[in-house]
Amino acid sequence: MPDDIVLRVEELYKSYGNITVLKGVSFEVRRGETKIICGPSGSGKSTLLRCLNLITRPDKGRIWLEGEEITNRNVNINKVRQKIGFVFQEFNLFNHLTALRNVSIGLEVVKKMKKEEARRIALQMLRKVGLEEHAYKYPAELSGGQKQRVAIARALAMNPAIIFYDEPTSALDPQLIGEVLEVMKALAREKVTGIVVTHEMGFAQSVGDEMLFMYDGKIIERGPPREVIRNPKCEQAKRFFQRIHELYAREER
Amino acid sequence: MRVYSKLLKLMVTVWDYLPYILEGVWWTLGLVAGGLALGFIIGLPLSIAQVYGHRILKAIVEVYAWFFRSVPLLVLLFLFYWGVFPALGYKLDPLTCSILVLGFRSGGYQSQIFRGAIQSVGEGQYIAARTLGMSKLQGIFHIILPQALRIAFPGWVNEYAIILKDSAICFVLGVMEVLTRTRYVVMATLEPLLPYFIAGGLFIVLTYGGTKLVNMVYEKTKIPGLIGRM
Repeated sequence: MPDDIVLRVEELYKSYGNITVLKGVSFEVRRGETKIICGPSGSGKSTLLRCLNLITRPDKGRIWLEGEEITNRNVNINKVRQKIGFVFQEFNLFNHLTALRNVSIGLEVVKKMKKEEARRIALQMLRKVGLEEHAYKYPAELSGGQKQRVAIARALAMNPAIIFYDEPTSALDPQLIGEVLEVMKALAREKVTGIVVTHEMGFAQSVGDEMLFMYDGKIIERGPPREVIRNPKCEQAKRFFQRIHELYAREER
Repeated sequence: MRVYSKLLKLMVTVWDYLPYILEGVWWTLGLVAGGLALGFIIGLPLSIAQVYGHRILKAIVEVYAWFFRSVPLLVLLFLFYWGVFPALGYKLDPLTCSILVLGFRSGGYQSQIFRGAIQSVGEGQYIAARTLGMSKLQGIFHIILPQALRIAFPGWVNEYAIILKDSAICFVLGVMEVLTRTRYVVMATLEPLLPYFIAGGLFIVLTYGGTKLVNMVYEKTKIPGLIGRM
């Protein structure tokens, strides 16, 4: 396996009861790449991300992270997850901790770092997402956009090999989406490897290296984002992007 | 005039016995502190097991909580004092036995207080903790419990008030708490009114004072911006 492949996914399957959510998903993510995943709701995007860091166990298929097969039962799952950042739609900040402690607690508890060292890194990460002056605020005192930026700083602080973003702007008011996307764009330009599930087509086209279009548990179209968005080949993708286009056109009016 | 002097005489008599009744406050507080503490030690792990544990573990906790919440305290006291402990080969003194029973029972109630609190923190934060690489226990101890314990506070204060009042039933085993002593005073003076009034007053003071005190601690541990939610 070439060295620059961070994540490799092979024939992933997942069912809940008799509903099959993932029906054989395969792809690779290279170092520095930003992979965009989109598709209608219920197509299995979130389940895919959750399977990739084993929050949900896939039924079948294999996953390699930096050359190590993490679907192997003998792998220490907590060690693996340290290398995968995860940014949630609903932020999921720790409500009893300040922004600073939200970012540093992983370093302290998981990486066993000294308090001062963790604090120093956390401040650095908060500066990176433009929230240094809010370091001592609690999540309830922050706006949605600020919360999501803290969440990104929290993921970054662990120095992960890859970051997963699960619809990071879907729970935000329109005027707050920009600040989060700016941070994500900056990271993508710094070649922080990432998989982004999003419907933000502008973002996808400006920093996405490849787009995977999911439908009914499978990747049915892939290619450069610009290509897939403007010139989708399959019927399902055509319909999907048409609908997204209409939605945004309506907002602009 | 006759009534007045009788009342005066009664008050003087009861006044003599007052220190004796007041000494029972220590016993009552001992029952409450012991019961609450044991209930906490039992209830917290049970609640964690009920939320995060294996299916079988969950079932066991449910049966435990169901049993101790369904059987009257009086029955539990008799059952354990005359039945369970002797059968196991232990002859416990009334105080120890009462504390254990109050604790077992409170453990059942407290497990449900903490379970609700843990569940209201939400699964999202727990999953976020796990995605950082925290183990199950690290997630529970560093992320869930600090919040759940704060949320559980009002319910827990309520449990203090309940166990305080329930502790009076331990008079049936002859624990030297407030009610037991009051009854002795009544028997000695043949005057029920004033002594029972005093006993009632003591429970009011303990309930009110205790809840006030614990609520002060609660105010100190509030999370900024989350006041409305709890």
